[in-house]
Amino acid sequence: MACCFRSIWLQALALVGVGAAIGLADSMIRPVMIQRPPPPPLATAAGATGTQAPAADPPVKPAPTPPGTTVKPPDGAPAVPPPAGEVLTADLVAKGHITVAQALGLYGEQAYFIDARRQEEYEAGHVAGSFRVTLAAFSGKTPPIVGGLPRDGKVVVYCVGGNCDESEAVAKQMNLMGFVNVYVMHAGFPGWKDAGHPVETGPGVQEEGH
Amino acid sequence: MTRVSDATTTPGAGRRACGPCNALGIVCVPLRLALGGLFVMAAYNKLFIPNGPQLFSTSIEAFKIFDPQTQGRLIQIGTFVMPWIELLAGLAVVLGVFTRAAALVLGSLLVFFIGLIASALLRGLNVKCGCFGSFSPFCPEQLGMCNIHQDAAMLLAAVAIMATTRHACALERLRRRTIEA
Repeated sequence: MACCFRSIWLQALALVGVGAAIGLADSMIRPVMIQRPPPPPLATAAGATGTQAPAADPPVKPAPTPPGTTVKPPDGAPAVPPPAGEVLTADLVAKGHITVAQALGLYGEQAYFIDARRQEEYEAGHVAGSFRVTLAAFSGKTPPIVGGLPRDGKVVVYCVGGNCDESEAVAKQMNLMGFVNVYVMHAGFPGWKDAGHPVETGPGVQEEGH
Repeated sequence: MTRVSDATTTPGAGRRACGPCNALGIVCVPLRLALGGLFVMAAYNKLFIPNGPQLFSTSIEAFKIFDPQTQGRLIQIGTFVMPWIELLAGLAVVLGVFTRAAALVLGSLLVFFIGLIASALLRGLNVKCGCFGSFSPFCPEQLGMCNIHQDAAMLLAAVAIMATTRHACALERLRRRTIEA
């Protein structure tokens, strides 16, 4: 019986060894992107007041607000202070994370906003004019919404902030597709909403099937 | 119970040692197909669909076990090594080659996954499982207790396969019969 168990352990070790060897070789042949390249730094540190000069040929948002959605205007306030306590570490800034105030600056420049949250969260409220594209939409294909955006356009991805890594993951996928100006709004939708910036509810524009 | 020594020294005893499967060996066939098939599907989604490895590496990162800045190479290796082990062990369980050893490997992986999921839940991480690549056949996408229950059920199946000495419809039985003949 002891002999039998020994042979099972040996066979199991052999299986793991062969799998590990093939996997190791595969990891050398097909590398994956672990850290995404940082986007170019924004012109101003705060960027909240929309003082950045608009791009010469700003991308035009292709998606008008669909019928049935309600848009809440920002009450005419051009600049809203960022949420209290929203301070980004140098590490986060180097990874392309931005504050809500900086995101508002990009919003004024007609940047594309990508919502990486679940459908019910998106429909309950999202950044006005944003598209919903989750990480799952990148599985095995190019999400049509993302495929239709200009690769040199500015993109802001967000989820729920805090421990949510979905926006960082979607940003990485967009980098892999050739987008170079992809930022992550660190405070996510709660930070945007709390700051009183434009939000809308309803189905909006979403990647189908995810 | 026929001992191995009997089987090798007594004429005709070899056939008894590898005789008809017991009930558990037959019951284990659907279990083997289900467990091995799930692992093969999971590995296929992680390795062979376009963007699969990239999405799986993102899942590994989200568990915050490794620091991407200093341990990126480990994430890279884990992205490929884990699914290849799953694929080989899953195929072995389905085909019935080194069945008990392959079930031991799958069982060990499941214990590791349960620990990993529990750790992520205790740390309050808001992550997706990534267990079957980008698909989640039994549980919601977001990691939760359902994933632990799912892995525990699969672990029970792995233990049952490990505990079965004679598996029906297994290639290893064919090999034994050929040797005996």
